[in-house]
Amino acid sequence: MSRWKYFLQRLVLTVPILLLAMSIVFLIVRAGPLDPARAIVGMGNPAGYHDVAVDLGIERAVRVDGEVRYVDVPLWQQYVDFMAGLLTLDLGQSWVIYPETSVYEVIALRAPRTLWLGFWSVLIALFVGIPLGFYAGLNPNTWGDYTASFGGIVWRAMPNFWLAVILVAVLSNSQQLFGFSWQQLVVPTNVVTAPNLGFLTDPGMFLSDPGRAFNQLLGATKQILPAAIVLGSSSMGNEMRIGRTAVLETINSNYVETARAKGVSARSIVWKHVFRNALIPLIPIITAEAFLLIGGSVIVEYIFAINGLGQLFFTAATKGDLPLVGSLAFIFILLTLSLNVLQDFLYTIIDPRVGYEEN
Amino acid sequence: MLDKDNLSRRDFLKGTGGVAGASVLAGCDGGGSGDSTPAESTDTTSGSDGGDAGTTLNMINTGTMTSLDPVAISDTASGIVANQCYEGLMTYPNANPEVEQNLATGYETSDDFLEYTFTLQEGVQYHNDMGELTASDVVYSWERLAASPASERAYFILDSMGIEAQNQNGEAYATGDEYQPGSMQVEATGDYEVSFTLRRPFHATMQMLAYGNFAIHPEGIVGDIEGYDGEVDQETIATSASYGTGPFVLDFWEQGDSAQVTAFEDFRRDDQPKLDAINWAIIEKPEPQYRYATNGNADLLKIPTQYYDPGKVSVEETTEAGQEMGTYGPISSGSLNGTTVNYLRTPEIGTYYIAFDVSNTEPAVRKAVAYMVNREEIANSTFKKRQPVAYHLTPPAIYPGGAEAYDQHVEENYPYGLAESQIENAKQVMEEAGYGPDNQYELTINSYQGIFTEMVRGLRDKLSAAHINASVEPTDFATIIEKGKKGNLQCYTLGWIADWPAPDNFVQLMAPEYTDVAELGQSALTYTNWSEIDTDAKTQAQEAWDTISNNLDPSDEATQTRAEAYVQLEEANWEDVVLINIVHGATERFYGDNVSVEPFGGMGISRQTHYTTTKE
Repeated sequence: MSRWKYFLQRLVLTVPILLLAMSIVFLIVRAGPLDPARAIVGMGNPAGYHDVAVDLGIERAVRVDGEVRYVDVPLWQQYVDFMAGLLTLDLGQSWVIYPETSVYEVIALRAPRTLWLGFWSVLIALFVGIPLGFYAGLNPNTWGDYTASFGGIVWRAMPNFWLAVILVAVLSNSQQLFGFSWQQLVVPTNVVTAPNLGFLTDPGMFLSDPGRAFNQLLGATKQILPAAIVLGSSSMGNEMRIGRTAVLETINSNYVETARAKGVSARSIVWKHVFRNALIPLIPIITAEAFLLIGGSVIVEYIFAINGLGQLFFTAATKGDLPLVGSLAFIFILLTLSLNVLQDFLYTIIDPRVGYEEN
Repeated sequence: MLDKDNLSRRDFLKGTGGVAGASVLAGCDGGGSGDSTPAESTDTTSGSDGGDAGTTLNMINTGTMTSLDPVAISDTASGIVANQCYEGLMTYPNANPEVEQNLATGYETSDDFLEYTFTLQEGVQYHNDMGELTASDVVYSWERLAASPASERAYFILDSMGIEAQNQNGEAYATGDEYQPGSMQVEATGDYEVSFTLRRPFHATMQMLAYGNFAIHPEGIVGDIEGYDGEVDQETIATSASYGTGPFVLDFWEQGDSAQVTAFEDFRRDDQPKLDAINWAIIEKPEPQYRYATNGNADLLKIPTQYYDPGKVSVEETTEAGQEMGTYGPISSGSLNGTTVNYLRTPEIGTYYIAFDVSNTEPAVRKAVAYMVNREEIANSTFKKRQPVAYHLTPPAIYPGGAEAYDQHVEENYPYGLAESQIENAKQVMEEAGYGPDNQYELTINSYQGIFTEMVRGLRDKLSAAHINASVEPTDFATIIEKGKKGNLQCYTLGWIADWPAPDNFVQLMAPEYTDVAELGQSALTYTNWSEIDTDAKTQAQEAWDTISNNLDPSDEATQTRAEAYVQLEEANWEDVVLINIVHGATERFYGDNVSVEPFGGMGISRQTHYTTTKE
């Protein structure tokens, strides 16, 4: 089996997973304890209930002797409609949170904030965690290693919700604590609430009004950093620890010793041989962290008042906007699966052993 | 908020559970909301490019805004913004319950209180160059309220107020029918004169017309009712532009982030509004609300219960309506550290209660709980003195005879002890019913999540002394409804906020006929099944309710008859312990000396339009 055949196989496998996951979502939304139409109508009246139920495909209006009656649509029929809707990417609309607004629109408004936060938290983890881990692995049992390792464990151990509350409190009171105001530092920004991401939705601004665009970029980066550090903290620690172990393992392996015996320069050994091999165990860790983009950010979004996708999903669930919950869950499933595919793709490229068995 | 229907089954007074639920949220999540303080720095409203200098009042909006289409508004968060942009014929001035004319300059009523004729102000301009207000706009706006698919409050005009109309079969409309679009008896009798006819007299007609959903917008602006193509689609009026006559024009609303309105240049009073703009950051959770405000980002602060210290309040003045004014401080966080801000607390026309399904709880148990509840203790500890205690369902501001009569009636008649837990009485009544330490009664309480769960947990611990083994299940609003309409609730907590400021809007919750879950399903006003049991008190309650229903006109005689019936209903409820009222809502506002804003009244902070608010 060639590498690409392996990759293709993985790709095809995502289809049944997608179907299974969607079926579970269907069961939770439609067969769960909460009647979706009831949740939308609230404490009210039967007539309104039937209108919504018909719109959602739960009931059907039938005329009996000139009188309108409402009949339940069988669950299997609902299932077929539900799956067909999602697979044709017809995500429907929000009912409770933003009535009459399409799910795409709701997501388009919220997604930039979550992506910006996710982007920075993954970036911080990558560019701080991995270099530190590699440094520690290359210099084992030195004070530098001890410091980095200890720091990694501490970051890993601090719970997000706690760290977030503390960070917000500290930054809010920076004037009293450190003698400078974080809000006024470099560019004026708020401690909480989402940054202005105008430059993301309108990239043309960088050409038409570069001064303002760069100022916005700077402000948005500064404002998102505390939240991103909190969100990325545990993965940073993770990547540091695993990076260190991976480097240690590789650097002590026989082929590295051989290369060294051959007289290959230390620089070449580290960058060409050790680095690439040490990345292999890190890939699933990194792609798994990309899930932070979605679910993990609920608490951080909550405390920093960044109303993104995580917050939207949570609100939709607690306020009973079940159609929106279903559609969002579908989007999250798609994202998760694409990240899995990306992971397999990276494996295929980086690890030459993939697909070796039959060769 | 969760209310999507527009018909009700029985005639007269159908409630707004959605509103009640939403208000429970508002009342409890942060323990009442406040507003206001000085932004010393010229600040940084995020996400808005429009927030330029000048005098922009910065506030926090604590809920998810859903829609700004006047007929679609059913939640406080949207109302706060829409009330700056839209106006109706009547208004609650600064949210006070006594209504005043707004777009109307006068009105006449026929002797039988069925026909109303309003004259309108002339020369009132709409936002976005939509021309001048005329009587046909009123007809159009109200038709949208009754017939638009976007309308959340069709029953306000068709059922509560009861304007004459026809159903789909061409017969006279009665509650529960499907409305025949275009059949409502609202008529433009001149360019600036509009008249309508009611099915039956209704004493709170003026109060209903002050409701935000009755706001006037230009004829034909949206084509979602018959006979109009529409100049903009419904989504535009719901999310991106305002077409009202109010002092502010919607600038932008970025969902989940912020909203802003700017002064309307052609507003009919030249010297208003005083502000250039108002900006709301949408922050739903208490922790960031507090940080945002105390970091100087908002002029009107929010102080969530966990950061609130009742010892920092000093009240200097109390108004007749019970509003307390004074100072709060010093604040101990952020750039406002060490400052003291202005303080206002307004009792709101709302009530939060514990309800029992009387068909599956024993009278002894309900009485025992009533003996054990110590409202003063709950208000002081759980609610940190932010909410006033409630013995009646009807709030003091609208209680017949006012707050004094309220207090007097409670002191003289409340059977279960004031400001104390009567453990011995509770024990005795349970033991008489055959319960004891080895034979405890099992009670499940579905408490609305948040501060109510905390309150009920405190109560649970006390109840064990009275041989009641209570288990508390924190439950979200949607689930309470779901369980309620199936009759699966034994005991639960919810609240009610006024649709119109009159006791009948409250005591309807105790009308036995509206508690019949089996017949009404989720349209029951409380899931208490009082109709199912046979007691003297229940008969008294139903009779009192019938008296109210038969005397709805605004005459003095009918008002007096209703007032007596309200008190009878309250007493019947005490006797059978169907609802145990705990606290009335109250809302606080905190703001700095640079802001000058009128105190808001009992109809709630969202109904205050900032005509005269200034900021230095």
